[in-house]
Amino acid sequence: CSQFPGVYQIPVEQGNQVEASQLEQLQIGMTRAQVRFLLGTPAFINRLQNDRWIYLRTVKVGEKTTESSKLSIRFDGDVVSAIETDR
Amino acid sequence: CSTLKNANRQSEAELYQTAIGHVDAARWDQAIDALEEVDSRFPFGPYARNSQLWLIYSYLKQGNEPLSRAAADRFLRLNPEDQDADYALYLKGLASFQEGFTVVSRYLPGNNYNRDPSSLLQASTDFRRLIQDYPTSPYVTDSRLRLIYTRQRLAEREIEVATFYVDRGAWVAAANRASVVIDNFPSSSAVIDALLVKAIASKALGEDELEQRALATLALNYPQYVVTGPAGYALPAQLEPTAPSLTAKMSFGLFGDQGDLGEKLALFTEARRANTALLPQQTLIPNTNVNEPRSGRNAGTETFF
Amino acid sequence: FSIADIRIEGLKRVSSERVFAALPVQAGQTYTASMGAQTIRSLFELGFFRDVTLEQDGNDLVIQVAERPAIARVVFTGNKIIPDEALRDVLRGAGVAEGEVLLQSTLDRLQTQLAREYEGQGRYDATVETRTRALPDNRIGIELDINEGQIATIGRIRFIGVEQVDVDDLRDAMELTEPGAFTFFSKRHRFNRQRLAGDVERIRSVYFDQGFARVDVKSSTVQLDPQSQTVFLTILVDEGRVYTLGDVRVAGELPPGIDNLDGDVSLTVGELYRQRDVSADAEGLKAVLGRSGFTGANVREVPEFDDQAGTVDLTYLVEPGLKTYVRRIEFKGNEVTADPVMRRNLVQLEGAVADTGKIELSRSRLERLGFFSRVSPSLKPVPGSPDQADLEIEVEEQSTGSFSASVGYSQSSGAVFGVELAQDNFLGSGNNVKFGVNKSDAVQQLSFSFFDPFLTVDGVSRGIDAFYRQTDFQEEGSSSYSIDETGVSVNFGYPISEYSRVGFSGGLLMTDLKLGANLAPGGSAAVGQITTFQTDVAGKESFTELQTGIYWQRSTLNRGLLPTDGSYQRVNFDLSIPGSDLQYYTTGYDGERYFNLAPEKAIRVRGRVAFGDGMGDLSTIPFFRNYFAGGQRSVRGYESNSLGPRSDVASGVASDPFGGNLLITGGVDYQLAAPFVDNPRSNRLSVFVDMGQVYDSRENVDLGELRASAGVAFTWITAIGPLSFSYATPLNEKTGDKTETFQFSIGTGL
Repeated sequence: CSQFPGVYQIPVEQGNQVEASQLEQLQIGMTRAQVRFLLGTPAFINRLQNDRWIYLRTVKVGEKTTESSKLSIRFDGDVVSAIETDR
Repeated sequence: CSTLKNANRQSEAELYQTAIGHVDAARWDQAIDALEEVDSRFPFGPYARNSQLWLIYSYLKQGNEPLSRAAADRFLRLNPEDQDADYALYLKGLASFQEGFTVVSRYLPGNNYNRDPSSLLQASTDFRRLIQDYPTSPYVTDSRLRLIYTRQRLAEREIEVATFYVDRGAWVAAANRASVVIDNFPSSSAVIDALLVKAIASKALGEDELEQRALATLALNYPQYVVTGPAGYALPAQLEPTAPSLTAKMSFGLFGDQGDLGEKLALFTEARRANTALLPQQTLIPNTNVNEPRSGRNAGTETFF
Repeated sequence: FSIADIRIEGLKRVSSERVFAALPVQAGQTYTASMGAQTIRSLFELGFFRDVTLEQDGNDLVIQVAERPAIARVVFTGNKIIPDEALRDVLRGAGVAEGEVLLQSTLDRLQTQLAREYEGQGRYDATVETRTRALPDNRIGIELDINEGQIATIGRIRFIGVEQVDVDDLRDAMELTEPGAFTFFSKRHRFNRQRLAGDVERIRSVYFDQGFARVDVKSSTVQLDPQSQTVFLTILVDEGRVYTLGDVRVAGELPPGIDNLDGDVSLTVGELYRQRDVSADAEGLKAVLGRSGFTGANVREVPEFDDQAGTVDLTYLVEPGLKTYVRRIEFKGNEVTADPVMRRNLVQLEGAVADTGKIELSRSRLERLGFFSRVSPSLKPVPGSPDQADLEIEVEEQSTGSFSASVGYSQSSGAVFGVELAQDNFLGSGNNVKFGVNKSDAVQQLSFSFFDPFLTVDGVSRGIDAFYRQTDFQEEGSSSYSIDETGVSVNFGYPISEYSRVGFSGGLLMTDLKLGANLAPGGSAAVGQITTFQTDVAGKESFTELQTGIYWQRSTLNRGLLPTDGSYQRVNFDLSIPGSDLQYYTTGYDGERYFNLAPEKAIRVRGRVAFGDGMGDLSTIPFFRNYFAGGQRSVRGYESNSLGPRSDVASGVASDPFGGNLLITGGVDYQLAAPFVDNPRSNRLSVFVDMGQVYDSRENVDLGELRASAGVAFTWITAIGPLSFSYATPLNEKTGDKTETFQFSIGTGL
């Protein structure tokens, strides 16, 4: 939107905060319920792929993105089969 | 003591007839007072049931939707198996539907359904219950039409909020609102906008696979809104984000086309919505074509044996 | 005999299902005497029947019942303290309402309930007589004759065991007091059991706040002297000792992402153990947790007392609960205001961590719009996912502007009519629209302004103003000139922080001046202004100006309409850029500050300074741009625009105000919600002191000339807009001042 010098924009914060301590406890083979207990419900509703949960996080302050991370968990049935994270 | 009983019944019938007289003359205030008196003084008399029905009708014609709804609830509670139960439920739905026309939207053109949706939600539940519980009722056809109209408005309201969050750059919020429409309002035309928003948001979140999947679903049902190219599906031209025009840059985005997505999306949905007018405006004018209770006029039977 | 069928006769009001349900006997059983007695007893227990008899009709058991009468009318007289509505609730509670069946037990229950109600109000000797009158059709009327008796007043309040705290502190804290000078108004000398219970709590909190953590208000005995209806209160207190803080710890499992909260605890070792500070700290910890998603967090204070040492080891037990996310945000109650108009003001977003700080900020932003009299956000848990909640914001809309139309005729200025519409939330769009047409003999004006606060989603605003005004001073006395002005301007603004904005504007202004021939030579200062202006512009009479302006503005007011906290300040600088026929600049500061005393009660200090000066060949700002002061919106108690230099004071002819190029106004108000209006947020009663003056900066600026006034004002927000009345008496009026004690206006006054 407009590029006024110094326009104050409210910080745009989206998605789940996943702490490092929680990430360590995440392993292959956990059930969906265990993942949900550990990391909480994924904020991003993803019904187009029911075998994949996405825990993504973005924080934008003004035009600058100060935080951006993504944790994608693939399920084989009810069990975690793959974990991709960019951290 | 029987004469006293008959005289008493006589005054009950008289009172009821005067009430019906007021109804016919569309003097709703007097009709409501008379009907309420019949109902309260002779709660078990033959006219009680009819007066409760007429009360629902009169309040609605008077434009007092909450009281009409309350009267309908009371009637349904007292006479759950009544042959006119479908009528009471239909009027209850109508009352909420009419209340959905909030003050502003009654006199304002265009889609102004982004006010408090609770009465619309109430109307859609009532109409859906009528269609399920009383499939043979004569009011089902009208209820179905209004149900489609109500749900279409609710879906469009979700899209309007999704567009706001696209403008704000809150991609998870926008995608979630779009998913609500895709899951709950699959038959409404707002699904087109929802799939587009889902594609835009997924792309912004770096989820190209999700974007393609949304556009693929859209291409399956409404191909005219998707560009299918060799590298997969793409947004329609009007939605491709463009660089802000020179005037926009010069005027810090105050004049000229800033090329931002929110505005494009709003224009797109507005244009698409214009050519899918669903209901003839006439049926939506409040409290006009409300039909009378089927068995409302003649005396009923004593109710306590 | 074995019962073939059971029939009930004589039922009128009571439904047959209810009676059958209560019957201990069924068809098919063999009837015995004991069963009969039991049936009669169980039916009587229902309470609906005056008389029950059993008869045998062949093999049928016939139960003859005579219903107790149903209540048709309830009439009560003599109740003052308890209003009719409240009394009706008490009656309904006791089962006495139209259409209910009158049970025998109801009457006695009514008696005791009413007595207790009146005792609660301090009326120990109130008496209630109940009379019943039979009515046709088996109904009954009940009449209650209430004699509320006198109020028991307090004779004396004695304290026992109060050594380490000043008794007067306790007496001040209590609501109940001994009769004194002001009790006639405050009625605090009237005894009332609820107030006494409240006072016990107030006494405890006085002790708590002085460190007496283990104080115990043993008993508060009430002796009533029946003759004089006076009450003697004795309050026994076991003070215990003062406690100071031992070590302060935060315990409980801290959620991931929050390592320690010790830094957030303000209490330190050795401080006095005051309950107020402890709960404030606990709230502080909850706020810290709430800001990072733990909106359901719970913090419990666990004190361990060491009575010998007089110290308390305090642990805050933290139970964070789940980190909650906001799934959806929904608005309720917005009949007129559109969803985006509110959503764009929210700082909390969907699909994000729930942050109580952001939710509170969003609430105050919505309040500051002035569209709503109430904004209450609440987090509703989403069924099925414990760590998600929907934020529901319920609003109550209020009228956001004013609409006035006036038609009239006055000898001096002929036909007068005016229509003025000012809406802050025009048709719920959040845009501000003003439209005014008025015509009187002296002034014909057409004005229009449109302001969109959210041209972009970040709050870049755009406003367009246009007006045409033809003012003719001929008829109004000596200084004869007339002006035709047409102007159009555009303004933009944008936020540079949460609370402050900057902006700029540009516009075109065309003025045609017709100076009357009969200008009295020399004479008053005002006429002098005209002549110097004429020489400055060398007799030119029509001017075109290109106006530009910039402003800075900061508002932390807690509400859009009738705020009670926060401040508002604005600084502006406007300049007619070179090349315009008239070159001058104007600058000004406008500010107000609210000091909140209590909910709906505040002291407000306001001030405004505006100054303008000529540039280029103008020695001062054009006289038709002068500032004026006086009237409902600047200095109450003086006629509007009547302060400042006059057109020809010398000749003593009825002189007209001429304004000046320097304006100073200000004032202090004590504001509170009027007690006699039920909705405290829709009105403001204030006692004020206003002061102000306009000067011609080229003469000496004597602050002694500042005019002041004091008075009372009342502003009330109605459907057609805020109405303001003020009654003010000038404090230092001088000869020639035009005062006006009573003033009224539509649109927010001061």
